[in-house]
Amino acid sequence: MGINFQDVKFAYYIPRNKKKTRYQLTDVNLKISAENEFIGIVGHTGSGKSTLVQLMNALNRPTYGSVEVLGHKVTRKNKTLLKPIRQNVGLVFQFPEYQLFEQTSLEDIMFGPKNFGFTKEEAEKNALEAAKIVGLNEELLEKNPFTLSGGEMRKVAISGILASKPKILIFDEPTVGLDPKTKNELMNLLLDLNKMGKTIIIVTHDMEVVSRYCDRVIVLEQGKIALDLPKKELFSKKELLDRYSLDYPVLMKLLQRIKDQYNVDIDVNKFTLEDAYLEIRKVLGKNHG
Amino acid sequence: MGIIEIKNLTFSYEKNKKIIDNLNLSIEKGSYVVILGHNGSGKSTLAKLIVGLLEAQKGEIYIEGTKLSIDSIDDLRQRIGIVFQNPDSQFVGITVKDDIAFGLENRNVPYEQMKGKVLEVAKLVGMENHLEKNPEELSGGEKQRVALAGVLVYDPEIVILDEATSMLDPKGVFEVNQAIQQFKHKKTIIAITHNLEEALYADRVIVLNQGKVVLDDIPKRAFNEEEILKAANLDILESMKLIDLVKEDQDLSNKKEIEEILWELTFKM
Repeated sequence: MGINFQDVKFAYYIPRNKKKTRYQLTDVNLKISAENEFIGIVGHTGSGKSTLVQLMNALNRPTYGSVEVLGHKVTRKNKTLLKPIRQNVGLVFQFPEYQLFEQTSLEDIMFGPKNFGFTKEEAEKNALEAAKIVGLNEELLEKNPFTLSGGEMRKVAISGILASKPKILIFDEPTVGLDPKTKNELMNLLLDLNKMGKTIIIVTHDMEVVSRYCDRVIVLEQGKIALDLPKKELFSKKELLDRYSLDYPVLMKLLQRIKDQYNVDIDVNKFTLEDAYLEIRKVLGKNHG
Repeated sequence: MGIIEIKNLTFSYEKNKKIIDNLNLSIEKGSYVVILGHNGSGKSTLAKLIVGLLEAQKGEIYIEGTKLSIDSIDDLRQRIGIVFQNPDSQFVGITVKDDIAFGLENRNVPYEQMKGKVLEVAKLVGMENHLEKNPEELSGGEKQRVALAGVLVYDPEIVILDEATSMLDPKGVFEVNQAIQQFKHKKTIIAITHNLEEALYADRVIVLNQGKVVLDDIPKRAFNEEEILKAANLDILESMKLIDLVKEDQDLSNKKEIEEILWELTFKM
């Protein structure tokens, strides 16, 4: 059981003449498991990425079709309990640090779980656990969140989602505006959460992040799912990357340059430093003796 | 003397926490300079000091030989334009045309002259077919190009790009970079960014850490300074990491050759 989209169409507004409806999403069929997935959703601005993820925790309801979330079916008008959906599918918006509002960081992190019916004690326990997972220094918890640095505020905001113990975590553009070090820290945190069994879904433009962290990639174009495939398959097909004007990861670019310049048979489809190095070594390296 | 001369500049928002710490810098006319630094290193503060949005506690800034002060700021602002990070927070006009013209309206430029100038800069950034649109209808890359046109329209000597592409998708980044190519080396460009790749083709790379310049060199040499970059909480280039693996490889007999191949290809367009 996870998330299951069936023939979903979505429009923010339906005019009186229904034929003139402008759909943000059409023909969406999609299955996502509630465990162990690491998915990157990519596509141009306006392709429907944010709309899609907002259907995953019932912030949007489908105009046609249905979205089933952990056994709870959501259609345009049916009565569904939304709380269990919202609790189990945590959505972290872009720049989540703008959404903090409590007096102390701890209270801010506890707000979510308290809202979902956890007792004060449970909420505090969860909050402390979440803060530990994201690597938030304990002394910061008593501080006013607005006195923290941007990176720390983002950690508080993410802890606030984690504290409700969601199974699936969705991040809308999590790395925008972060410097490389903070970005790596954050992505490694998502990887740790993924290793704990959680499904991680990120909306991103950063193909570097996709190539390194995601297992599966969904490419949206004009409100349709254009591609839904394993990462390795996407990056092994240059024509796909070009067709959807997706960026090549840096390592791939470098391998491609070696291939072009030296006319050698090198596999450019390597995503980690170690793999790329072994490939370069195999093609260009000479051993002693 | 550079078009911008910064001498012993110190700035802090709160006491005892210097964001810019006795900084010295000279930027040559017509150069394309990239400033790198981690979040909180003082990059954006420096940009705001140069355009006079903030006032330093100590030190001086000279623009084309004139000292930046309360008396000279109105005049100096004509010579500097800045484009900020967020494409959604820098529009004033109802149409693209109005928005680009705003800077000229403020300067009492005659209407006919204004019209020609707006069209000219819109063409330069490739937005001449969107002049009647509402900025809200545009993509991120288009919005940033309009913001750029709004700066270029009053013909400043210096253009500062404060993470101008960091919120854009790859297509948007490409479009804005194409637009920048149109006036590269005609104007002095200072680009503030996190993106190491954007710095590869600059004339000069400046790295800020704790409010000080810790590195200032051409890209090929600057990116070789692994220790300094790491100490400044920046990443190093992927090819540099590969070269480190080459160096560690005991069995490899043609280390130098592979190192050179990787380094050369890194800077190849």
